[in-house]
Amino acid sequence: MGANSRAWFVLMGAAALAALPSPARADVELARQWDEPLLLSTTSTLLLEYRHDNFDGKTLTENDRVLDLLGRLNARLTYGSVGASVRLDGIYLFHRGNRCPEGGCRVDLRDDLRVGQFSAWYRGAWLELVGGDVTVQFGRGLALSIRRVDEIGVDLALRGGRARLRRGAHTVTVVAGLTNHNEVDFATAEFIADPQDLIAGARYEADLAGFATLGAHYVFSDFNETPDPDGFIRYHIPGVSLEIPTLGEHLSLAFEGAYLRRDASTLVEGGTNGYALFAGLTGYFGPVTLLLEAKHYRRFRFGRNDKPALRYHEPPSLERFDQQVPNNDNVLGGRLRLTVDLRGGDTVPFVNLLAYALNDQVDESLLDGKNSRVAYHLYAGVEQKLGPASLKLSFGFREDRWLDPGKRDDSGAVTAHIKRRVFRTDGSLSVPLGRHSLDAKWEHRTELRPLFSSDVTFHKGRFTLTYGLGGWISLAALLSWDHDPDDDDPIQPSLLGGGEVTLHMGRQAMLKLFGGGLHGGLVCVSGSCRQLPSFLGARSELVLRF
Amino acid sequence: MRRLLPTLLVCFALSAGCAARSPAPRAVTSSPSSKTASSTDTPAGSAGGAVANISLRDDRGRWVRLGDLIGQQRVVLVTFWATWCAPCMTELSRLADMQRRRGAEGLRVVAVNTDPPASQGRARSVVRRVDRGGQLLVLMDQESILMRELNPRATLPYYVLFDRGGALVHSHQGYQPGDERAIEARVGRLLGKQ
Repeated sequence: MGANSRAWFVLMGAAALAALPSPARADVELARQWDEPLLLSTTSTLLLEYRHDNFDGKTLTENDRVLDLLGRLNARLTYGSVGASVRLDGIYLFHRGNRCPEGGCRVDLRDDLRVGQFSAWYRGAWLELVGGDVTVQFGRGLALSIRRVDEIGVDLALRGGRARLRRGAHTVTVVAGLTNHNEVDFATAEFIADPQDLIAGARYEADLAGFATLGAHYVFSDFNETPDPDGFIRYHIPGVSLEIPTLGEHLSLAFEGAYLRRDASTLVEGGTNGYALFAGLTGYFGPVTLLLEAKHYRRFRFGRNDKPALRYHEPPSLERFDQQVPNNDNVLGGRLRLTVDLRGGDTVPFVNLLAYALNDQVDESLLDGKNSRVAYHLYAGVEQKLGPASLKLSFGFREDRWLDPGKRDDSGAVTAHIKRRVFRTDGSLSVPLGRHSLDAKWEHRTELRPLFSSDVTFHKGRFTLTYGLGGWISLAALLSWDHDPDDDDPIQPSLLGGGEVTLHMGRQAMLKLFGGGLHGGLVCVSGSCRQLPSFLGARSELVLRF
Repeated sequence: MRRLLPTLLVCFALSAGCAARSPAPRAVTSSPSSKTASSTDTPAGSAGGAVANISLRDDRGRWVRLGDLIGQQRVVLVTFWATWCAPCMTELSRLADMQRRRGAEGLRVVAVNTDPPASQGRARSVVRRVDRGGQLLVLMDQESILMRELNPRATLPYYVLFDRGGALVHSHQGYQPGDERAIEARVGRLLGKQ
């Protein structure tokens, strides 16, 4: 295995070096038969990284001082309506860091080389058949969404098949397979075993006279996570959706609803049955765009709490990541966003308001439970064009309050105490300078949070300054700050910085070099959140398409 | 696992061999702004065929087959974007302007939205703001079908360029102010070829 990994990476490196000086190539025509080309397309990604410290402990641990080479090779072969693709994932550890502490390793670092994903397909005019690793989303994803979420390093697929038949206004999709996660985590270099949960589903969609799309679906899942060999956790999720992209001249509408029945041989967190309702309305009134959203999810959790947590569905809620309701399984609330185009779109102010009641403990009452809370958020900003330059500025405020069930104030309302208060600002400035360009981006938040018996206030943020030289090379300076006293490593520097060079070589190659440190943090995408680690070290990334 | 290595060797040998056999780059007149990126175009196969039978819904819910766009004597620029991607917005605005000016010459800009469900609902309102004239064809790729074919690294913004014959001749990751000049130079060269 080790020898194979080494050989593979040597080969990829050699191919990369060979491709560098040659003219850029796109898809390669291998042969031609009956006037139809057989095409090969290859994309290679190589990351050489030295992870000195990720600040997840008081001392350097087994996942620090790691020198690794990560590789991903995508190859695709197509001939007319048929094709096949394969993705090879590999990691080779030159240095594994410190020894594991007594009691065993906390993380799984290992050399690995495997077929991460593969597929073969036929795509006809009205029929599509895909075997192997497939992605799928039913409606807006409330009942089923298996896809790649790159922001948090999750690349999820179903290893099985998908068939889609489309005749006139009718579309039928059938999908089945075992969940397949990327085993090599690019963010941490750790190995993550596949969940291999069985998921099957079918969806029917009807286009109603070009006016609306009406859909109905059913999803079944059998989880592969019970320690008892005879145990089971099964999900049945029927659902419906309605999309009206153009309702009259000014409106568009989306609705989705689903019911979740959970059968289990053992007690499962979150009770047995749940439901979810979502509605979104968009209005276009001249320069004003209005978005309204309402949702009510009750015990609606379809996923696993592994590391990283996996969700097999995504709430179609219109939220910024810092507005994200941390628990999207048990929530009631709404949101409004108003955008106004002024001066022909050169000035665009916007305001965003949301309020939710939620409870992390899905078995508890939403409003009267011990862990019930409310969150409200006001966020406003402006995008401004300044000639060829553009400036974006926004400011926000969020407050989370814990309700105190059983306690009432003089007016009879349930009392609450503040749990979290966040002030946030972010912005960007882009300035073209002839053939060069200057980009600045920043984000900062000041957060108040109770810690033990007292409240703490801390600051977190990041600033990036990029100078582009004619599109083929850019230089960036990055700075991040984090004073959160709750971090794993109390000696983590509160200020980290680094530099990055990006080279676009020819038209199919890119090389990125980074050295220094950056703080990690919580990143949430569509209800899936992940604490990405801090990084102190050096990284080079080479991407080639040939 | 031992069988993987020969497979890889064959794969690389094939790609390297075919690359060696590919026609010599045809020198074309390059504008000053395009010198930094590259000064040659190398058509290599009709990649349009690889994605021709993929159909996606547009932002109004209508199905669009890519084969009806690519390889139909048009130069097609497919760009991947999402509402949360700030550079994508600037790039889309520039591409919409390019589409307005050069559409009659045979350019078609296709903006492929890759938003997750959480922000998918904002896609149409966002694109309306940067594309006031409705120049762009906006396709929704929430299942990452086209992304897996053309942008396997899933980076944003990212564009690929097809010539009039449907050959994929260029791809580029990222956008910085001023990049539109290099894009337009490439598009202009392709539009000039029949």
